[in-house]
Amino acid sequence: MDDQQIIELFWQRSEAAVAAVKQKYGSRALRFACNLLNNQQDAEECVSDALLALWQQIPPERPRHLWAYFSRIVRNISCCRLDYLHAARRDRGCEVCLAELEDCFISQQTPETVLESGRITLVINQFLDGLDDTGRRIFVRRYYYFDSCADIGKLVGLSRGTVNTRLSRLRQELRKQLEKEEIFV
Amino acid sequence: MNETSKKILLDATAGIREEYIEAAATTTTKSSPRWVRFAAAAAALVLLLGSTLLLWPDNRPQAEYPPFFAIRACAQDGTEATLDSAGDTAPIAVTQSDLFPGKEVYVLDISLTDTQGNRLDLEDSTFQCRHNGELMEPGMTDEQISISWLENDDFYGYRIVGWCEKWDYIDITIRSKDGMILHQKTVRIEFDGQYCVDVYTSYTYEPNLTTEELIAKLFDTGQRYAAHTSIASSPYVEYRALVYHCGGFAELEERADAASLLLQRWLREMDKAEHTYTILEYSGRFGLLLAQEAYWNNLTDEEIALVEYRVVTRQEYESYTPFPGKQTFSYEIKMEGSYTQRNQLSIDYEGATEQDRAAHFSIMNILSSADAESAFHGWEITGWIEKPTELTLTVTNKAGTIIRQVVLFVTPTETGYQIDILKETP
Repeated sequence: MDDQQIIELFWQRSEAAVAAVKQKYGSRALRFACNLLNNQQDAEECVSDALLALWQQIPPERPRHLWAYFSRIVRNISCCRLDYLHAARRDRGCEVCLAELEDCFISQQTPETVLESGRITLVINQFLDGLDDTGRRIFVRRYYYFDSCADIGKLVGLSRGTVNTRLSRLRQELRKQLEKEEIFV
Repeated sequence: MNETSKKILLDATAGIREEYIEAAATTTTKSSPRWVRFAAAAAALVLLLGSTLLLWPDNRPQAEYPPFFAIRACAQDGTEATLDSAGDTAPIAVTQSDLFPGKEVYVLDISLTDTQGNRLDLEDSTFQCRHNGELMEPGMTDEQISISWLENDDFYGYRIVGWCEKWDYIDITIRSKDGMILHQKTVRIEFDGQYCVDVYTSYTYEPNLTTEELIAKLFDTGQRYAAHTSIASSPYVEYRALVYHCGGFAELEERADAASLLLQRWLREMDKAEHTYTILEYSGRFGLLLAQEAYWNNLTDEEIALVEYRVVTRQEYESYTPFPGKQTFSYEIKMEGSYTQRNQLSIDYEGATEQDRAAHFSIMNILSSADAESAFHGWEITGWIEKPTELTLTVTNKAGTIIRQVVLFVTPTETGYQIDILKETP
C-alpha cells in the first residue's frame, strides 16, 4: 500500500490506517526510537504513542511524505521520553551525536547571543543541499536518526572508520557555513 | 552539553527537509559493495599487468603499511612529548574536565600520523581502544576515560580524557580491514599527584620477519616483562593459551586480541610479587612457545626483564625438563569437562616445604586438542626424588572442595622410577 492510500484511510477514519503504518514503518520506527532511548520497552511505548498521535493529527494534516512526518512524531515523543528518563547517560544514543554537532558551533558568550533553532535548520538544509547523496545520507542518518557509524557504514557501503572520517569533515564544513551566517552559541 | 543546547540542536535537526529524511531511510546504495569494486579493479589490473610481469623481474617493493601511530602528551609546563616505543615515558598535565567533575584529569592525544605528519589512512584500517576489557569507540565515556575524535589543521586522531587514582591501562590497536593487528600499544597511566604516561608495550607488524624471528623478537630479553602481552598481539599466532596461576588457570580465547586483553587484566589484577605465572602456549602451526618462571616473588623490573624466553619446537618441548641433569618422572592428571573450571592442583608429602616443592616438582598445564568433543584439561607433574616418597596430589575447585585426589608411592630405581597408585578418588 503506498503512502497516499494509507493517508486516505486516515481521512476515512478507518483503523486499518494505523495497522498499515505499523506494518510498513513499524520496525523502522522502533529502531529509530531505540537509537534514542536505548531501551526496547520504552521505544515500543513511544512508537505506540506516535501511532496514536498520527491518528489524531490526520486529518486535518495531509503529509506529503508519510515516513518523514511519522518519524518526526516518533523523534519528538522519544526525545520527551528521554528527558523524562534522563540520568547520567553519557555514552549512548543521541547525546553523543548531539555533542558532536555542538562542536560545529563557535562559542560566543555575549548577552546578545540568541539561539534560534529555525535559523540553524535553514543553514543545515542549505548545507545538505550542497552535499552529494552519500554525504547527505550519512549526515541525516547520524544527526536525525542517531545511527551508529557502523550501522551507517552498512547502509552506504563504507567502513565505519570512513564514515567517522566523513562525518568529521562534514562537521567542519557545516561549522564554516555557520560561521559565515554568524550563528554562534 | 547543557539541556538548552541539546534542545536547540534537537529542534534544529528535526527540521531537516522531508525529502532528505525519506531518502536517508532507504537502505539501497548507489555504489556496489567495496569488495565488488575491489574485485573488479583487481581483475582489470591483473589482466593489464599480466603480460608485463612475464617480462619484468619480480622486484616490486614491499607493500606499504600504515605509518605507526604516536601518543602525544602535554606536560604542565606546556612541553609536548611524542611517545611511540615501549618504555617511552612522559609527564602529562593535570587539568579539569566537565566529563569528570571534581576529578583531576589528564589528556592524551593519539595521533594517527607518523612523525612526518602523514595521516593514517583509515580507509583500510580500524582503530580500537579497550579499557577495563571493554571496547570503546569515539564518543564513549566510562567511569574513568572518555574518547573523542579530534580533527583539525593541527591534529588528526583521537583524544582520551581520563583520570585514575594510582594507575590505569588503555589498550590501543590498529587493525587492517581483514582484522590483522598492524599496531598495538598499551599505555600505562600513573598518578601520584602528577600524571605520567608510559608506553607499556608496543607492537608493529613487520612483514619481513619470519614467524620465529618475530616471536623471538617479542621475547627479546631487552623487552620488559610486558612482552608477555606482546605475544598475544602477534597477528601470526592463533592459539589457545593458558595462564597458570597458583590459584588455578584461566583459558584465554583464541583470538590474539582477547588473549592479550585477558593476560593484561590478569597481570594487573594479580600482585606480581606474590604469585608465580607460567604461560604455556601452543599452536599446531607455529610450534610451541614456552615461557616459564615469568614472575617470582620479589623480582624487580630489571630482573624480570632479564628472564629469557625462547621458542621451542614440539620435539624440544616434549623432551624438555625443568630439572636438567636429574632423572625425573612424570605423571598426568586429566580432568574432563570445560576448560574454564578453575581448579587447583597441590602436591603434598611428608616434611614438604614450599621451597622443597619448588625445587623438586614442576607443574605444567596440559590441554587436549581444540576438538571440543575430546576436550580435557589437567596437569603434568614432573619431579625428582631421592628416596621412596608418598605423594598426595589434590585437586580442589574454586570453592576449595576436593574434587580429585590421587595418592602415589614413587620409588626411584636404577633405571627410572616406579609409580604405584595407592588411592584415587573419585
